[in-house]
Amino acid sequence: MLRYLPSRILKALKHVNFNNVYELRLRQNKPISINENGKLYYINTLVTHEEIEEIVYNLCKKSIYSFEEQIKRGYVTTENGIRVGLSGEFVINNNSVQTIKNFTSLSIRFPHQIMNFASKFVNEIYNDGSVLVISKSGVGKTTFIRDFSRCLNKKKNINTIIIDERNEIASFNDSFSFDVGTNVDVLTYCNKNFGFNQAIRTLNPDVIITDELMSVEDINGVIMAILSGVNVTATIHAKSLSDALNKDFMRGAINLFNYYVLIENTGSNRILTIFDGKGKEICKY
Amino acid sequence: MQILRLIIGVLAIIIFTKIGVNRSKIHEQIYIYYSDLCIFCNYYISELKFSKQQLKTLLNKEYASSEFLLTLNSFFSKKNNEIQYFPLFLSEIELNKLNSFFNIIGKGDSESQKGLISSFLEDFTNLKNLKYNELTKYKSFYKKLGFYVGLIMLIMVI
Repeated sequence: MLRYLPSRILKALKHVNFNNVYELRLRQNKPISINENGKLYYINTLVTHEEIEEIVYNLCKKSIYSFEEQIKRGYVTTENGIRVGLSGEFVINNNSVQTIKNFTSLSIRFPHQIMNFASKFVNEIYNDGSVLVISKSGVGKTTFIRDFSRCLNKKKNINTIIIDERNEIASFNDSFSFDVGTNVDVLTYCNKNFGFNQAIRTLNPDVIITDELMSVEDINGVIMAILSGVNVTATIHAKSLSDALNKDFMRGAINLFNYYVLIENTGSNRILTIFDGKGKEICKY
Repeated sequence: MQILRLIIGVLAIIIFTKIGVNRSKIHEQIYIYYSDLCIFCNYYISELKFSKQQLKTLLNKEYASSEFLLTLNSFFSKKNNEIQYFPLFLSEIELNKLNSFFNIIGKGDSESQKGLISSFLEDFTNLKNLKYNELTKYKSFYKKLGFYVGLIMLIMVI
């Protein structure tokens, strides 16, 4: 990611330890904002509009048109699974986003593979079924399901399909990918609707893993999979179990999942609370 | 002595004819450069319409001009405010046009890029045709000029 940054910004960031950084925000005419281990601080270097445009251009390998579909959804994902959220001027055509131009800020999320983050759950608690992982943004849902896939594949010899809509879970490309296990097929940049259909019809899955359920269409895909005998592990943005289950689009999903995993942030640590399918707490660690 | 003069005279013909041939090759280089530029634009438009692969994949296409390849390579490898390579045989106007071109490619969605590149392609095609006319006009002219200058030198020496 650093090679896409202009030299002036790189110089300002030379003392930052990126192993601990969750998020870097670059906003036009504002200081650089860094989230390191859950703590927010600023570097007093103002980012210019031209620098933001240059970063986007470099991120897209000088080919913004080839990242059109991602840009329409408001992000670009780099080859190392780093997701860069884009803010700027949205160009709307026939009620749909055609593109974003005049970028004004970038939200750069650094993924971390934390080995054994899900191992206790997989090895000591999980006994088949579908799982919903719940937390607020940036707390570790994607990190959890990434490790869940790896640990589950180590424990059982099953076909795992990952619908990786933003290429954040496995981050597959020519030279890099996170360790998500051996018997895993990844549908990269595939939307969930198509992904669920494709996986069930042609890929013989035992479990489908995806992230960020956000709509009725997403839930319909999950229902279709579970009714086809496929376990689903997915994530949802929410601050609590009740908050997750009360979302409008989740109405059709009550009693679908066998486990709920709530991840909470306590600064540099995470607390995982495991609930059964009826919402009863099993354990906390 | 007479033989030495003859040898010098023949050498003069050879040297000046060679100078003429080399001079005409510059026109050939310019024409091939613009041909490759048009080929690049056509490949690019094709990518914009269909598979939308990154610009860098166009580096792997077949180009006849080593100068054009250098221009492309320097475009992809340059960082921040580094200067891009352009061959010396381009005029200032041509240089400005190429700078404008390389400053906009890849910097927009496929629809806007299609329009812009098509417009540049039209200009480059016109320039290519102009350079071809110059090539046919001057190719044999410089060869003959070189030969005749050499011949005059031979006569003067003899």
